[in-house]
Amino acid sequence: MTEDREQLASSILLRLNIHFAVLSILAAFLIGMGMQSSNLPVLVILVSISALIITDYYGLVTINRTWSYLGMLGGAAIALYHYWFDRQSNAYYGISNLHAVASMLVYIQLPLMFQRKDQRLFEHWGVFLLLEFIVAALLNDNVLFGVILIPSLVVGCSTLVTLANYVTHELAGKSGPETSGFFATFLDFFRPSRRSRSDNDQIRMSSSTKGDQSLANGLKFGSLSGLVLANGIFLFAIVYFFGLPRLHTGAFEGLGYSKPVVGFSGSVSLDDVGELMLSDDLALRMSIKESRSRHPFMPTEPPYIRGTVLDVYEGRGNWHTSNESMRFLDIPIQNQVRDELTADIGTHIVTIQEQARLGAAQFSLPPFFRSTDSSRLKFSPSTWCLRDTAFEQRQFQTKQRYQFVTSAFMFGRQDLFLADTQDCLLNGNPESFSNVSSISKRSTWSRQFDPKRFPGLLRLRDEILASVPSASSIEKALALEDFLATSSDFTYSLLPKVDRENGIDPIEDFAANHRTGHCQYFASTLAIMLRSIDLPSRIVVGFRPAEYNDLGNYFVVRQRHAHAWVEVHLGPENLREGTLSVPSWASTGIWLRLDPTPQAEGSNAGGSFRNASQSGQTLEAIEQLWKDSFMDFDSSRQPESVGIFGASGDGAIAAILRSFERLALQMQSRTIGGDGLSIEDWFSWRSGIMASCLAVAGLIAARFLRRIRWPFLGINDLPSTFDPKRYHRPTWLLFRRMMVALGRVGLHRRPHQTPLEFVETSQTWLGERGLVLPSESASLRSLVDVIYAIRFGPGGELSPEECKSYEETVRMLENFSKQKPEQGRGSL
Amino acid sequence: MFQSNLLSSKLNPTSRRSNHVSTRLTREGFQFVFLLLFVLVAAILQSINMLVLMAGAFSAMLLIQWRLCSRTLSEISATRVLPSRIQARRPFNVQLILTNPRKRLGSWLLLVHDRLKPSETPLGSMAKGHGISLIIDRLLPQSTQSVFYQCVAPSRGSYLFLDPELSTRFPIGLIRGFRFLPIAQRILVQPTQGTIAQNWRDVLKLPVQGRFRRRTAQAGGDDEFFGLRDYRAGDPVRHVHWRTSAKRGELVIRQFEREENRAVGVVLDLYPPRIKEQTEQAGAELAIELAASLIAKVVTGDRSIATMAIVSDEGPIVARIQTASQLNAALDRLAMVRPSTRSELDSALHQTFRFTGGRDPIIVVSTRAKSDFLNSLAAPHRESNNAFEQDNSALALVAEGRVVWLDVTRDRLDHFFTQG
Repeated sequence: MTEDREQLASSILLRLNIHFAVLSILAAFLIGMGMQSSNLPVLVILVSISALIITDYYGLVTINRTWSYLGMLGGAAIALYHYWFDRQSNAYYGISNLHAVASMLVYIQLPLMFQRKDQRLFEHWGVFLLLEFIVAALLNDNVLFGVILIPSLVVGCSTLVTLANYVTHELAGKSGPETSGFFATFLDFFRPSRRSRSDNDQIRMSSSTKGDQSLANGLKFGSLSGLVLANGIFLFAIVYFFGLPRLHTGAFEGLGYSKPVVGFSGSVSLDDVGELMLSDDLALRMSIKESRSRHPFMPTEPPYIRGTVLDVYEGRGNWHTSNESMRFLDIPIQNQVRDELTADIGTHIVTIQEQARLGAAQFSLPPFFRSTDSSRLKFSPSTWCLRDTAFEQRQFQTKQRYQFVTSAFMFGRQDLFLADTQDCLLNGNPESFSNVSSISKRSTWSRQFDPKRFPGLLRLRDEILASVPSASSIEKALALEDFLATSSDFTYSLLPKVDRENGIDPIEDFAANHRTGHCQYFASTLAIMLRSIDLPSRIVVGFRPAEYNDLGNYFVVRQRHAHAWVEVHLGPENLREGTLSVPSWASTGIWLRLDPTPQAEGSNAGGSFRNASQSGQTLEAIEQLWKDSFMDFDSSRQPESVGIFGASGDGAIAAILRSFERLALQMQSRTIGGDGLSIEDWFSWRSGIMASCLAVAGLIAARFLRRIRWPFLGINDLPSTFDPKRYHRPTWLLFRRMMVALGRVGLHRRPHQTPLEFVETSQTWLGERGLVLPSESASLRSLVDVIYAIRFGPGGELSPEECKSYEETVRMLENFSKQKPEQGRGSL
Repeated sequence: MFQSNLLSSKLNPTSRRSNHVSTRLTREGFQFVFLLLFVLVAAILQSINMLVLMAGAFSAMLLIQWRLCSRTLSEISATRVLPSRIQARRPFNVQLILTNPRKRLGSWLLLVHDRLKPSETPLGSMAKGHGISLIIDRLLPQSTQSVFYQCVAPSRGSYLFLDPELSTRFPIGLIRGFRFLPIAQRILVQPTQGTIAQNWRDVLKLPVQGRFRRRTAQAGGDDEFFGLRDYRAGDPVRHVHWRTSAKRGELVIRQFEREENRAVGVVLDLYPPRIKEQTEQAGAELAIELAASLIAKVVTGDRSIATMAIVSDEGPIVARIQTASQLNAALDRLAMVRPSTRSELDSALHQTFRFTGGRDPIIVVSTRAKSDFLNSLAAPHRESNNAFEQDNSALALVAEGRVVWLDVTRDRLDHFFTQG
């Protein structure tokens, strides 16, 4: 090896090391981004650079394989220790598990960097890196991950090209004896005539030019080819992504950014809401379009997005939803809703995309009806709340994306009134619709009130109502709302640092003693006050976003936009009181929205939008585009891109996909197959053993099936007599008969043999055993030549005369094989 | 029709037969595919869109690799160039010329694996031969590239260059495409020619008869015209006597007076026929090499005529060797010669005497002692060779020591012969 060549070889190796180091850093960066930690990327950067300089460039320190394995074990131990530590402190095990796997992958690849590099080591390293990218994909869901994937793809392709060049170079110039594999060599060792191999072993081949130029050119291959390849791969991946049929509605969300969200189950405590509102994480995005023009619609005030209705006060600051409110029915379609509510001019299409797991409760702007025939959501007629009733059945919760038509807006503002379901729906609707509304009205829960627990609150109520002694019910309700929202005695605070007095209800304490609290304190106080004057009331928990993205034309709803307000029910006797313009068709009663929360820092009660910066809106719009197009792409979105696929598509394919989805759901919920088919149990040691056993059994079966003959399938059923008129391809038939006859005497073509080589060898072998076949015309060799000519060249079938002569030869062979079957087994 | 089709498929290097490219996953490819399946299953069952995107990218890598390594190998043709003569244990150069006839697509990172194996390997041997891998970094469209390597055949005999395997892992090494280039080639490796000393005639005490005239090689062209004879294969064309050939309607050669007194008869006697011991086998090989060296020395060095006789299973083979092509054919015969199961040295000697007319000295190169040969000629055997005895030449000459007997297993040869 010349000096130049050595230099070139070390150059390509160094280049390969640099590629792998860069790829490691990118993978660690993506994992660190998912874990929201900079420790891992910094560690990998430091170790990679150190290994490049110390081991790969100067060769000062090189650890052997044993030390490397010990180091990997050490890395795994550190990751397990972190996992155990996190598990003690973190209740959310899903993230902790994945973080542990990610850390382990990063730690155990570090010792590899200090080993002497060869092909096998690069393969191991490559597998670790691929696994890191897979885990990073589970941890991340933001657009930055997608952006970094592109350079990662370029570097990855470049690395693979360089590796292929390195491996080819390693193979070039090598010479040596060849055998037919381990077992053949083993058997050959016992052959009496194996001495004949001694000549073979002494053949020497050598090359003085071992591709030096190739190395020089190989250095150029990597980055250039990587760039070109990455483009093609990227385009294919995009087409593949949108074309692959999806089984589910709702896509998996990255685990890294998702945090458990409180507040939208059927039970809420006062403290929960305050904690929720401190979080700046995204909850959902909501876009509104006018039904007729399909233009984006932005109301004049932030909308009240309905989540959960709480009508039962348990005491001690805890509210929950009554059983009557937990009855759910299909969302009404357009022709089931009163015409006044479905006119195009007053309706808007609302699209909501969850950005975090928000539980079974879904969000709406009532009154609403379905825009499409299919919907997975149900609604509660008594509370106008949406709910994903299949939520509890799903093992893995996914983010929802849904659409409905609302008539909540009139003249750019959201209506204060919400009519009873009975009034909104037309007669002739399912019976269940008509009764629930009355149940709601008659419900005792919305009137529940224990005067003994709220003496201070009642005193305050009386003080407020003293100023409006002869007011109607509506006016009293408005007076109470106004007082709580504007009184200087009450202070708005998300985390009120007050010690509530023991033995006193927190709402009573808030109303009488410590008048500091967040929206739910105010709403709870107002609801109790209204109930005390015999007005049915309930608390609605939802969002009130003040952030609107002008570029994407959607509301950005964050967890800090969570809000609670009050709805008071006005029966027929109260409808015409006061100056409120109640719709004439609302005959059974309406729910009037009241928001007693004062406008203050952190409060969502204001009537104005927050001005976001242009750059912030741009980034937000890009993030939305990424999530909308990629992260949340599911079967419900697929028809838009590929037409025939997806749950909302009609026809057989959609039905099949729905069947698959049902099956997957049943497997996940262990309805079918018990624990064995549940996906979360697949990655266990039991499954590993089972899969290994199945794989071994499959391999054995495959080998066995290859050996047996299938006469009933006609595969081996060759006719013993030959009639050229019956067969359109007589040459092939002769060839197959010849191969079968040779196989019968144990002569099988080996993988390294061409048919011609095989036939020549076989003919010699047969000749040594007394079967003299024609050596010129109509020989086995010329039959193979004819087959070659037909198969690969412009040759045609044999003429009948030629067939007859070949038939003679093949028949001689067949007769011989019947007389002396299996003679040559294992000898060729 | 059949023959013409067959011929066209053999002569057309770009036929589909030679174009069939097979593909196999490499070790990296298997690991990659395993991860791809894992990602794909997880992506579909869990609706993890990022994994779907990654599965798409992984699938694209495999597809692109498969198509590229299949396409870059197709239509490439090859030619193997070998020297006209190959001797055992002497290195010879092999040149492989690869041609890419495609108009647009080049080929990269090509690995040519050429294989050589003894063609006399008994049927059923597991050995596939000896191979060497050579790299061609790129083969541009409509261009040709050559690679060279040196090869040494360990012993004389027939060898087979198998179809070389052309493979590539380009571009990302997940799949290896390969195909066999249909240029299998059978070669004969002649026995190694050792060095014969200049004074070998004196050492062997060959009887000198007739006119002897020392001439230089340059003077060889001035031979005196001797007569005409029929054309024999291998005769130089410049010696054809065209006028007489035209008259007779067949080729006639001008024969020149040569140093007939320098002609030698060489009889190769490989006995006993079934050589099993390593030393006896080596003795037989030494005898063949000595015979080859002597013949080559007489024909090319002394520019004289050698009469070669080989005791073979088909009976004695005797040939007169005068030209280079005749010498080449004789060496090819020696490449394949095997110990005879029949002891017909006496017959071979007899025929050699008849060929030489009793004028030329005869050297018997044998693996046995002269006495053994004489003893083996028992009376009944001699009676059966009446014609030979009547000719009164061979046996008498051997017995009288007029034939130079070289027993390679016992005699010292190093004072006139050095093995190659």
